[in-house]
Amino acid sequence: MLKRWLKRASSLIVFLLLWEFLPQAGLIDPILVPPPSRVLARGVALLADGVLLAHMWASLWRVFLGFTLASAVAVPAGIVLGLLPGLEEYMDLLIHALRPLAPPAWIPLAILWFGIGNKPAIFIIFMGTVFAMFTGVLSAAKGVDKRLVKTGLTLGATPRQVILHVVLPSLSPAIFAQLRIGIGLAWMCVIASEMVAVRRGLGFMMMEARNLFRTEDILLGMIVVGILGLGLDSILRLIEHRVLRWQKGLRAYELFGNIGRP
Amino acid sequence: MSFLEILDVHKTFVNDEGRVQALAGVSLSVEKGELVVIIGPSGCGKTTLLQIVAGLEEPSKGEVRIAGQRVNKWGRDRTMIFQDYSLFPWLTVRGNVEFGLKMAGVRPEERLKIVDELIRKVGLEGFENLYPHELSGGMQQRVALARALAIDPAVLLMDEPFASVDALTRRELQAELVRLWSESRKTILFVTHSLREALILADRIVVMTPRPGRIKAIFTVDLPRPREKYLNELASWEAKLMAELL
Repeated sequence: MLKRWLKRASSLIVFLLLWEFLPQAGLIDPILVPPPSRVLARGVALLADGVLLAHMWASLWRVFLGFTLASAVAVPAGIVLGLLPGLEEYMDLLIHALRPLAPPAWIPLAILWFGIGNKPAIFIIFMGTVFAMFTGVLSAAKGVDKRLVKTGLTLGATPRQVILHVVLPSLSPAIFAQLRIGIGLAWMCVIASEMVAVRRGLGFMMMEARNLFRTEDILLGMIVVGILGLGLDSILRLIEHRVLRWQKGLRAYELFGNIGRP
Repeated sequence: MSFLEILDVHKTFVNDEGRVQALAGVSLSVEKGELVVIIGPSGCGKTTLLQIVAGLEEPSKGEVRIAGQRVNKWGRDRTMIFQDYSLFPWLTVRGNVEFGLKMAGVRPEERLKIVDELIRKVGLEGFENLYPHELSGGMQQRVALARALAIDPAVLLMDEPFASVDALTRRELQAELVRLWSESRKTILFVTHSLREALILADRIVVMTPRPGRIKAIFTVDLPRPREKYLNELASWEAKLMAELL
């Protein structure tokens, strides 16, 4: 157990050792690459005076709002348009024209419309995630098994009940996959938007640190962003695992051992 | 007036390649509690006919009546059972069987009673909390049968329900269906490719022509059930049906 853990951690340990040793020995400029011990010390100091927590909280809150809003639009819209192909034809061109816009492309407009603060950041997160999630749910909804729907109808379910009790559960694996993609994108968007559109948050903290030449704050920000991103995904994965328990024994990866286990 | 009346039903599908006539004037009267088996070559429109009775397809011409009422939509009085079982993979055996009752808003205690009894009847006790993919094909089809019976439909529409299980399981399921049917006296329309299956089950056998589907002949099978033991009679019936099909 310990041996396996060591094996997995070895590359990270070597990386951290090199990172610590090279600036200490003067082989790299410690102003440009401060060693991890200094980043850690800075992290402890910023945590202690509450600054880091305030930035983290600001970023997480924006992601929560933007992501919730985007999912609340993308999932139902994807299901409805997936089930009503006539409607999709009307929307198709507009959606595919807006979709390839990278999230940062929305930044100038967001600032013009909403100024500085939470609103533009939420707008950017929304625009940056909604199309990807929508398209994913849409294509999954198109593939819902017709016979399951027919079965539901002849068992007396109303069309509304069929959507809630047949379509939705049969789409749940795809919906979770899209939500996980969405939360990852949202986290990227919030950092990007905070670099220009707000005065708080991890992205802002990093940009400010660059202006003040505090490299350790930039690195600290990157580490925190990474950890929180992983944390958000883990939360969704945990929920997914519980909701999709019925899929146990249906997945191909169980057949091939643990290769590619999610 | 019969309980289920299929009156001059036509169906033409229009697709990119043109028009395909699946049914060309099918009329059939089925009495309440009767078990009617439809046989015919592949593509003769048997499945289409069931879907029209279920209200999942609309006839191009003609109509279907249940107890004198014209059918124009699906409903829980006509429940369909498919060859691939179409169980809901996210629900357990119990969840699948109680699906229709739940949709109808039946109270949990009453639901429990009905579901437990049906699960016992189809021999699935002890498997209530397993998911469909953890069951054999035969057991899955039992779940589908119990699920359909749970809502007590007037008509059961079965589209080659036993076609994908092994021969032994198939015989078991046929016997079970006969037993359940004699207890409940549901009206059943049953589609199959197997002459032997038709003979084991049917009050009447409807033979259809190749596309476009029409009724070619109707036979009343007057052997007493269970019929498995009447080997000679079954063989001669089979020859008779085969001659009609060829």
